[in-house]
Amino acid sequence: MKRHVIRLLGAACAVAAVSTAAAQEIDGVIKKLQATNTITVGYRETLLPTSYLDDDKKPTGYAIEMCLRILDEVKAELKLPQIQVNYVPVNIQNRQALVANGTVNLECGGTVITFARNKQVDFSPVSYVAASQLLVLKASRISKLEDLNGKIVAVATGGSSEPELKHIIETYKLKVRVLNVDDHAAGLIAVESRRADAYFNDNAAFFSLIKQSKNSSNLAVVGPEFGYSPQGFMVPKNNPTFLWLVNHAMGKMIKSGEAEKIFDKWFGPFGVKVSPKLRAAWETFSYPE
Amino acid sequence: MNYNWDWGTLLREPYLGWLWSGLGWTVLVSLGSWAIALAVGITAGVARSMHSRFIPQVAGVYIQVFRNIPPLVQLFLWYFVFPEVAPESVGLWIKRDLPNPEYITAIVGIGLFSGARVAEQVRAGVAAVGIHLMPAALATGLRPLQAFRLILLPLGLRAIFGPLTSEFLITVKLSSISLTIGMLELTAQSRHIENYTFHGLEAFAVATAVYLLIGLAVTALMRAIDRHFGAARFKRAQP
Repeated sequence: MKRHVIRLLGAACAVAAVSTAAAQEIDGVIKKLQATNTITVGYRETLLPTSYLDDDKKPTGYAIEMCLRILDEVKAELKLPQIQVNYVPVNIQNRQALVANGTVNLECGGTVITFARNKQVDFSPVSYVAASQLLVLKASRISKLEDLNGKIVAVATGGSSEPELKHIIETYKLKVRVLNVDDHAAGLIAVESRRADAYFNDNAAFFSLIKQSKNSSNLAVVGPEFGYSPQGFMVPKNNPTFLWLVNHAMGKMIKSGEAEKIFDKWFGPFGVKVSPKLRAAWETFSYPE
Repeated sequence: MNYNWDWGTLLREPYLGWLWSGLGWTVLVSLGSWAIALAVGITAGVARSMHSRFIPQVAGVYIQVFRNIPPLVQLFLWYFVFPEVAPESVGLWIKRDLPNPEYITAIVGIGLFSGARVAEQVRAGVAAVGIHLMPAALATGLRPLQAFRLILLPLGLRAIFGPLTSEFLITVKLSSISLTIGMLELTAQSRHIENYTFHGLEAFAVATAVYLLIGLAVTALMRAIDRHFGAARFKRAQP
């Protein structure tokens, strides 16, 4: 029995060692593409309109379309006959780990680029710039940050909006009771059930929330766009060639105006245009050929 | 998987502070729910053992309902559903003006679940020392409630000290489900740290160790109480 356990442990260690080696191999994604013509793309299931499942349960959205365009470029550049895309659903908790360990080769969602994340994964150029705003009931008459004084504000635990809210409270010297919620849906419920007066979050999440709500006409997104949360697509570390291909493909799309067309196609119906901050990020990335 | 262990993260502020406050809330939620569980559980356990047609049935309904619905579901019912079905002004008061609504909801939800389990232990304890002591107690002129308070409960509670310790431990561990309604207790703070630093394994390892320590402390405490007041002393006193 004991020996059996030891053998099992040994096997587990061997598997772990092999997978570590695979994750650390330089240009593993390119090698996989050349060997098998397949790539694993991570998508989000409910992040409207960036990355979500459509009515036929197929991944779709702004980020997915951008990624498919990037993969077209990759296919041409590597002279592959075709690329088969394997979709893997990811969520806020596991997306980073799945990219870091090489399970997902390209994460097409809305992950905010931070230096802390960048230590473990690489990022494509900026795909979208989110900013924090307030989701409120229209009847609450909250329209700016100062109006939050004496109110209850819901905030998602663990996101970048939490420290921002703390900063706002200190800057404006507000008396606010903070309600921690677990995810966006809980934030929406808190506002709709009047448990909280406002949900403070990055506005990228609000589109799907408003769409989910049964009384979306009662909801409003108000307040100044606070902060700078540039989002990008995650690529595992140690893939310089693949990262270059992604960067180059996105650079070309940005310069040709194709990126903006795709943006308008997905965000236009929500009344959102390319924001000045996103435009600035794109211009910064418009390197000459 | 490439995982860089970095235990130093946990010693850095604000993460150390988060773990501390998480520990504080875990202890507060545990003690609060345990207090409710004991109070409700003993009451319901006594009610269940009473000689009456009506009272044991009421207690039985409480025990069956609260023991058989998963505690997480109960917590959600208390937090999300109860304020909506209550009259609007009451519901709004619970949601907005109740001091620290998440904490109160958490200890009520967890406390009533554990209370149902404690009630069954108490009933078993009273049955174990013998409900037949009851007629003897009544014969000495005690009223039924006095008989419970002076004779049956002191003996019955001593008999169930072991299972009660387990119930206390379960209540401590159940405190972690309060994170689903926004209590930033130990498990929530560990996830919190993971979200910011991506060193979740360290945070969860520490949380695990802390839960273990709390559990051992609870066991030691219950043992000390048992040694001073419990059946152990009772037995030693006998020749």
